Amino acid sequence: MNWIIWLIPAFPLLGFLLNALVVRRERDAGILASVMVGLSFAATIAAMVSLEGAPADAKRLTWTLWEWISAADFRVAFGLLFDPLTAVMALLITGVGGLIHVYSIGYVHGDVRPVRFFAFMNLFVFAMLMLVMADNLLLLFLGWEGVGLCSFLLIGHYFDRRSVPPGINPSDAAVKAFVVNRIGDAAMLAALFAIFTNFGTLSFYDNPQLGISGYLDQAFVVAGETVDLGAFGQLPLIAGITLLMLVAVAGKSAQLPLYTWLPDAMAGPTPVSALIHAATMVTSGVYLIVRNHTLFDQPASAAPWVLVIGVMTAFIGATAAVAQLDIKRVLAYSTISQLGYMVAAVGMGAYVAGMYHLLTHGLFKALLFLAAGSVIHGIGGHQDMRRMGGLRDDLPTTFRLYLIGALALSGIFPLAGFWSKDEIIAHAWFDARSPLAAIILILTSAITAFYMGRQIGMIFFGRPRDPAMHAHESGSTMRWPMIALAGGALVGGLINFPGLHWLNSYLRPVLQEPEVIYTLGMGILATITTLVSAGAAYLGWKTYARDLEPRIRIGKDDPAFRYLGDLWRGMEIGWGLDWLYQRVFVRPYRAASVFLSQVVDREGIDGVLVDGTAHGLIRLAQGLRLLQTGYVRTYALMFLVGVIIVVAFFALRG
Amino acid sequence: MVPTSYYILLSALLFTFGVVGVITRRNALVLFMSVELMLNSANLALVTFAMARQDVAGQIVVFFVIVVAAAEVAVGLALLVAIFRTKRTTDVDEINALRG
Amino acid sequence: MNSAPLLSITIWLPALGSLAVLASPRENIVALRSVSLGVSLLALATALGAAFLFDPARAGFQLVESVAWVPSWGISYTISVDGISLWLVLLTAFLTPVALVASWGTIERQERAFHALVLLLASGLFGVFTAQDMLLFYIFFEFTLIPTALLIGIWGGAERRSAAIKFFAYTFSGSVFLLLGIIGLYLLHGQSTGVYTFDTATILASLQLGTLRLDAGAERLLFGLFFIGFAVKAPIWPFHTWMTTAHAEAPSSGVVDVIGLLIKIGAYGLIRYNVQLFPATAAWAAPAVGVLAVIGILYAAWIAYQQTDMKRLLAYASVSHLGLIVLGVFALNAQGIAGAVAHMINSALTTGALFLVVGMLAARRGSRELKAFGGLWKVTPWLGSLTLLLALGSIGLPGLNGFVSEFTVLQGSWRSPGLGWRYTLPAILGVVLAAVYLLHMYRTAFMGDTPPELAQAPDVRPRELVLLVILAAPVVVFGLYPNLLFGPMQQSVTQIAQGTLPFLASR
Repeated sequence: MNWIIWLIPAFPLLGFLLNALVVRRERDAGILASVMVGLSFAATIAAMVSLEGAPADAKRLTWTLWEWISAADFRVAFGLLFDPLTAVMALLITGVGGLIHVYSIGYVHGDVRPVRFFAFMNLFVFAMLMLVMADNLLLLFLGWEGVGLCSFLLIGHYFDRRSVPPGINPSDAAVKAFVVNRIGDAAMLAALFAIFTNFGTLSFYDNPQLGISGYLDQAFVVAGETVDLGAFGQLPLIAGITLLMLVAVAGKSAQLPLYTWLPDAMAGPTPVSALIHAATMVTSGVYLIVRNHTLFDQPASAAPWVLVIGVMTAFIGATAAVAQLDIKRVLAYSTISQLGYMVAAVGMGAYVAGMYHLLTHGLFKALLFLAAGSVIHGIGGHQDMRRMGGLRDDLPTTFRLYLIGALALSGIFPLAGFWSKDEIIAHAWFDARSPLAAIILILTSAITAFYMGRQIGMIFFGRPRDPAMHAHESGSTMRWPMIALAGGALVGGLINFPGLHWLNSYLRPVLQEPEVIYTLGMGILATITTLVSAGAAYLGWKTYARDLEPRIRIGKDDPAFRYLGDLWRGMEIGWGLDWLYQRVFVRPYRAASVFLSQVVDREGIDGVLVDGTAHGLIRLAQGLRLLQTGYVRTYALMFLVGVIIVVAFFALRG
Repeated sequence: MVPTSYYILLSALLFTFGVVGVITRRNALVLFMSVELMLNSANLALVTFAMARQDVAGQIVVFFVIVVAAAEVAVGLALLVAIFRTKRTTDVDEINALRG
Repeated sequence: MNSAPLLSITIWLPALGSLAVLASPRENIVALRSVSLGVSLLALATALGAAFLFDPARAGFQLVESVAWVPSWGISYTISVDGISLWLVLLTAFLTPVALVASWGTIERQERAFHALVLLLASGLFGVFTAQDMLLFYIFFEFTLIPTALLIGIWGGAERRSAAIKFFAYTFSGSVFLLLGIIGLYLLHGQSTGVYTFDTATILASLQLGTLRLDAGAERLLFGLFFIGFAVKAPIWPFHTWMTTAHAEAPSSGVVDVIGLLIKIGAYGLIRYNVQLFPATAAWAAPAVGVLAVIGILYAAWIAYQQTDMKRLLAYASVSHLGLIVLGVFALNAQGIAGAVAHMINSALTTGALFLVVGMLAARRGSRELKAFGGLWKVTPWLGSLTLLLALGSIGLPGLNGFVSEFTVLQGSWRSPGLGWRYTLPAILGVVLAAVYLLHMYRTAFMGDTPPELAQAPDVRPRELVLLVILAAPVVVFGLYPNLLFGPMQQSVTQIAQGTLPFLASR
């Protein structure tokens, strides 16, 4: 029955090919794409059932399609793997993905190039599934870059427009996403080479069928090895590999310092933001670390760095989200922040907690994006929150759904986000002994709640600030997926409920992580966190729905700017990281390119070396030319001189 | 007997006059005359050695040289006449069309 | 020995075809196009036939055809293929008809001479890749210069005259050193063993058996002479400037594909002679050559970014790819060399196809300037999607051909005792830079606003579609099933790598 697992990615691939080459009508494209993902979901369930039959110590289904590369001793298979970790990821991808596909049918109705849209959405699901189902790091990398490609294709969906709200050029945003991701990918490649060089294989686990061994179980083998960095000392090999992986994760999962592409990625249609930039692609970095946890568990690994990056990103992302004026940009920075939580969790070794948050976040963030899309769709296409207000009367269902998502994100008991987020915070405080990390995460939680309250207040409460606006609720294809996701956000806590530990037990064969024992201390911490968050949420709502509400005007700064000034401006521009990169990297690179091209290459190499040689030869020829005077007498003289020399030579020699 | 060295000295002297003439003079006819002078100085040297060694071979070679000189003068004067027809001058310095 | 001299037929068929083309009447364009295409397809058939007869399980030269030419000097007409040259022969056979078809309609004058020259060039290339006798190799090596220079000089762009002269003079001077090296090796071999021969297999055997011993100085001198000749042809930075000019000024049709093959001769020569015959010096020189290779990768990629002329941009892209190939060659292990050969094939396919696209764009707008284009993905969606596929292949997206060969080269370079991760990390950066310049080109030409002159531009015409699909197919197939590429060359590459092993291990 193992062959079932290749059906899971095969359906979306088929959907892509059909949509790209055969289908012409929008309706057919949407239904085909959604059905394919739905079939994929069904196949996932079937595979999970089949997985139950596998022995506990080798709980995985494998299916090798063919041998991908076989160059000398470098052998990599095109093989799929299905174990509990893969299963939960696949469920998320196909489940949430399927719902988003259905939603898109309504959302892109009447929009440009819908067939292409659905083709690329299917391609994305395929690539993401390849990523989580790969049985070796190289095939994972195929999925890794594949999702980056689809991100490019989908962000650039409106490539013929010069600008989409809030003033981003979609083509530039798409290129930026790809290039910044590529930087991470380059680090990933380096990590791949290092792993292959030191372990001799890129497969995760042993594959007796092909005679390939896996490296994950051999992580300890390289425990003592170091890399000579010359003047910089010795770097433990494991630290080097995991550090490179961290850079890759920073690129793909939008962590510091490579997150600048994510806010601009909002230039794509909203379902794209929901699927790719909230639930799935950005979580692949977390998956990578969890899959490679044996490497990160090593004492010398870069795991502490992972924690630091995660915590910092969580905090910075949240602060930036507070000051955004575009409905999707708030959610974008929020995603960056929540990804920080997940990354921090796996950096502490709390892999289950990280996965837990990955799953719950996938649910409620997708819900939030879809609901935001519902708002945007309902009010005619713009995304500026200053132009909204008082929408809960015109969009009651959307309001309720958005509220559920916001409460879940803020970590309010008993919605899903509460359980997963607090498990991470508890882990930070008690197990990892990093009270500083825990405090920052609690603070971030409060800020998160604040900006969600702010958003709810600005959008749904107060008076409608745009007189020209006419809002209408979304159709049923858009509504039902959101309701399903809202259901998930409400009961998602059950995934790893304290005491039940379903996720932990399910992932036991892969992660072997001990169950969290819930102490009273944790309960108190959780209560504190929730109360703080609830208070912050209320504060955010009250400020923007009541207190400052009269001063929100279209086209003007957020009223808080008056009080916080530059601090607010800093938050609004994401602390200027993007601006910094433009100044430090992009512009100098461009200038240097021109310089190299015109000065070094044209004048220098071509001019001095090549043309210089040619000119030198020409001058030599011109010099020699002077000998050819044309006068017979000169030639006679030269004869004479030559004869004298020859005679003298022979005379003196003899 | 006149010592052989006198003859050789005379030969060398004539040769030098010839070379100087070739290098210095501009008139083509004088150039040819100088070349003849050089050839004849070589003839003189050959005859001298033929006598000194009582070897007829040297005198035989003189015949060869005379023939060559005659041929060379014939061709050279023909060339000169041809050039004169176009250039109207016998000044060697005017014939520099092959200047590089 | 095989029954039919397939390799000889493959070599000489295009030459005969070119005579036939020249003999046909000037006015009958259809006839001469059919003749040239027919001949090139026949050559493809015979090349495929040779491929069928090739036995991938055996190392060494196969399908040997030998005729003594000047026996007293040891020059013979000996041709053969091994795993490495087989794919290069196939690639040449494959790209020549593509180049010919791509040129239909783009040649304004003297089309007959054009086709004849392309066929002659194909003959020369076949000869280079199959020649086993060193002097024969040199003859074919130089022979390819003449048609190329004429093709650039007569049908090229605005600066074609100087580009052709520069190309000819530059590469010719480089190959003089090659000739010196060949003669030097010939003499040394003759003095040591008593057998004066130009045959590579014989010399290789003598070197391996020890009957010909070269002391370090002599070997380094010979290596250097061969190296200069191939380095100019490859081209290795900083000898690349002839190539960027030549590519930019070459005619806007498929000829650029064939010229693209010309540069593979350099890398091929490096493997066949420098690494195979002089492994000790190759190991000694690897770090230095590695530096040049890495500089080439990054420098060319950097410059490509701001090029406004699309052909120049792709020319620099070629230089960058070649830097990667040379890096793979001088990793001196089986992986690096295998990756390098595979990348020769793959980059010829992707970059060649992209050159074709530029030709198609130029035909629609009359300009190669990047700024003249925009938003074409909307106006010509099929062209846009195919171009994106090819660009991604060149960038090295996994699943497409470029990735497999790039990955193998970089993996080989990482593991190489001569090079290692210090060289590979900067080279990996090249992967990022490739995305930067190619996506920049794609974004400017195919995304964004559409200039009014292009609003009605036609999408791919049937001939263009066929050409692009023919080229795009291997891009996808080799990406998913690269063992097609690696399989035949396995034995030959391993053999060469084993030759270098003793010298690398000591480092």
